Amino acid sequence: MTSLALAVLGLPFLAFLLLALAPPLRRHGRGAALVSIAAIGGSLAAALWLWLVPPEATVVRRWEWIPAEDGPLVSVGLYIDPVGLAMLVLVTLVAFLVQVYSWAYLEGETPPSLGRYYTYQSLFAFSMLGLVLAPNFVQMLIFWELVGLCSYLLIGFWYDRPAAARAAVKAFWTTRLGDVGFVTGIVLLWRATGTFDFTALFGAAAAHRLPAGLSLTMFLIYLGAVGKSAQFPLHIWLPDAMEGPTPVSALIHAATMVAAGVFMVTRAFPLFAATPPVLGLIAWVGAFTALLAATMACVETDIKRVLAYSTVSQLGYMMAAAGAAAPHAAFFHLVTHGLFKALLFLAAGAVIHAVGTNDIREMGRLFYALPQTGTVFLVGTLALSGIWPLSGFFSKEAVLVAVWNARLGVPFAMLALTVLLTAAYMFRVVFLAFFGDREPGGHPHDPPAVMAVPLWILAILTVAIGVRGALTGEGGDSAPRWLTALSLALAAAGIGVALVTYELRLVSPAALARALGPLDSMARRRYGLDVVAAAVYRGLVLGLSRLIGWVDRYLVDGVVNVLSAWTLRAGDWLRRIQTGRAQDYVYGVAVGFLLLLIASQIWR
Amino acid sequence: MGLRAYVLLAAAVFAIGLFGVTTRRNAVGILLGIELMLNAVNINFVAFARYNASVAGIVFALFTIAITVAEIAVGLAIVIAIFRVRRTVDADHLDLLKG
Amino acid sequence: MGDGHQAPGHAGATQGSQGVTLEAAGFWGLAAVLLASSLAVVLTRNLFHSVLYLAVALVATGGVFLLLDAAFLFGVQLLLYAGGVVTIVVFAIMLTERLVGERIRQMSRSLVPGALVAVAVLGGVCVFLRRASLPVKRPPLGGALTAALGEALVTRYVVAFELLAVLLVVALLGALYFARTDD
Repeated sequence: MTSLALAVLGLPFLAFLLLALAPPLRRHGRGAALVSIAAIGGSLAAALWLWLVPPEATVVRRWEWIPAEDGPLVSVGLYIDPVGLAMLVLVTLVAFLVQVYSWAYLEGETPPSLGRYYTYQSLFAFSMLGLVLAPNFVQMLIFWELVGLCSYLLIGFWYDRPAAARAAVKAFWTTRLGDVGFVTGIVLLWRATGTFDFTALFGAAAAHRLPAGLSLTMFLIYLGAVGKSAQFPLHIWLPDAMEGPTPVSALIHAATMVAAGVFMVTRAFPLFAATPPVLGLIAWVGAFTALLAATMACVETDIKRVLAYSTVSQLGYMMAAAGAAAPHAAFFHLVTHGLFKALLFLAAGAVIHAVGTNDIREMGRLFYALPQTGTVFLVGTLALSGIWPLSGFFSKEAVLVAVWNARLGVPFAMLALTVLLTAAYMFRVVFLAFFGDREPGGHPHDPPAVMAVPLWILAILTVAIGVRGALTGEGGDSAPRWLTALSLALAAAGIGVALVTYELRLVSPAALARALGPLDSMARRRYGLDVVAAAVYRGLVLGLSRLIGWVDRYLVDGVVNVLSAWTLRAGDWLRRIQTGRAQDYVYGVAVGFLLLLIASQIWR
Repeated sequence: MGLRAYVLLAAAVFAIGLFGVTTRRNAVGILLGIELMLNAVNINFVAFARYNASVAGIVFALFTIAITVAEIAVGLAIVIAIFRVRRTVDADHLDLLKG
Repeated sequence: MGDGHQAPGHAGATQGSQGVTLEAAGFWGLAAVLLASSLAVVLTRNLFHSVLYLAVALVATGGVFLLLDAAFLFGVQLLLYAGGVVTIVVFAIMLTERLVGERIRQMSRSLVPGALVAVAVLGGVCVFLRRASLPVKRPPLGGALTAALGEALVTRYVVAFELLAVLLVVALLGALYFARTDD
């Protein structure tokens, strides 16, 4: 059991070490790719084994790390429970598929660059798995930060592109901001309860032995999830993160890293359950984020950006479910979303690879040129829109049910409206890019097998989970009839709007935009949030940097410079003792002798 | 009276010699001051030799005299050599080693 | 470090007030002469006069040696110091003064610091002397000084003696080298 979990965690780490420490192998490119893929493949196998033969109860294994007076202050180890196992499978599966996909997608890269990519991929896999397996907040935090680092490295993979470099820094800063809250919250929690360990904390929560007044602490911990899972207002980094390669977007910014925030909330749910105000806030912010991002996705023209906003929106769904005290619904949506969003991103990657541009306005009739890609993209879109019997339908319904049962009326309304918008913007993309009138330039074709097979695997899984849900009635038994009907109707309405506007051209998009006037222009400008963030960054952060720089230059450096100037001046002054006249030296000897005399007298 | 008087006398001559070394301007004058100091040292040696009934002090004084003579000879030769080059024996002007 | 050899007894024996008075009178007289001439050496403006006063001081020192029953040393002092050294210095003065064409003025530099240091050194030594216990009475002399001196030189201190000879040769050569004219 433990050794299997260690294999899951350790294989990517070994691959990373090998690639990091052996430059010749790394620079080989294809060789590095094989090492990394083999490692994550082994990891996947171990994770599957663990998941299919799960332990009866939660398994925790710890090794002492930081010692303290009675018992270790912090340990490292493994925490294996069903949720964690499912997450392990998700992460390793998507990582494996993405790494295989990258073999063909990044074929234009130079071998050293490719090697660097796979090194980062292995590091990311290790970091994410460590986060999932963490038995206490400190280990989770460590891997949390590591994952953030990998995100930075991979967003800025093409570091010679200024936009990519800026996006990487922006992602890092924004998530860091949330992490400040996270760290503070963890420390405050330790102050209040005396432990970092999940088992101890959850036990205390179950026995109602948690100290009171933890609302602020849990809010701060939630801030970490706000940053990592791109909730409002720290969502601004995710659309810009699309500067990275598409497989990276699929892995990190759709399926795994951004899900880490949701995962953390789900994992620590017993603690959040003890602070209802924070839960309520989580639900509200989640629902609001979902709606906000959906509006912004409606006006985007970059296919990856649409998917990015869609991710933000769906993350809002997950958080809303968690806030509605239904962590299992949130996790269910996390898994299904991970699969179909990765599918959508990889399919978009195939499109970009074939057409050479991200702009949907320059695409058209791609369904006929890339039938495989078009099919899987359609599957993903239907799942995202929540159409029966795909996986997305069941998970979204679970979320809506949870929010409704928690009597959160306004969030429910926001989420419902988002259902409509989601279907609308996704089918907008479908109609514009895959159907429509424009002939695509060049000769786009379906991607090679190395890229196509992962696509099909994800599509099949999306369908399979959905069908299983339909057959077993899982997750749907607590849903009232009217809710199901409502969600399907809203989805259909969204599709209808897109159909009418973009395919049948009964209503022109411009007219629609005018009708929605102010909303449309604000959405196009991303509600000015980016501008605000940039201004805050320039003012606060850079201002602070300038201040510290001034202190460093004039105070710290100044002290050193003054010391050196004084030394020089002292030297100049002392130089005058060397008059060059032997008499004066005799004089000095006599004075020295006198001093010795006096000293010897004093020290009698 | 005893040894103390002789030692005091030697100390006084030594101090006078030291004064001469530090204040004279002429190089030869400085050498004269050194002579006085060495002289005082000799008095010291001989006095201790007498009052401790030891001949070692006398031997030391003898050696001191011999060495002083050698030193004076060489020293004056140097002074003359300097004089030939720099045309002065003013100690204030001999400061080429000034830092 | 006393060895058995001592100079033969002299009139200046420790017993008897007569000897004490003689010795004391001799000491004080010689001390006065020595100190006065020493001061004159360092304070006189004229360098020639300075040298002459030095000669006086050296002779007075010789007298002190005599008082201390070191007759041989008295002789050496007169021969080498008062005779040789003074002669050399006079020659040197003549050589370095004539070409300048002016009397060497001995305008000493600031006297006060030098005087202060000298007085301080003297004071320091006096303070030391206060605490030291120095013998007052002279031990009796045993044997002739010169013989004892000679014997010590060739037995105990023979190495130093030989080295001294080497030193004198070196000094001689050095002086010759420095004083030569460059042709």
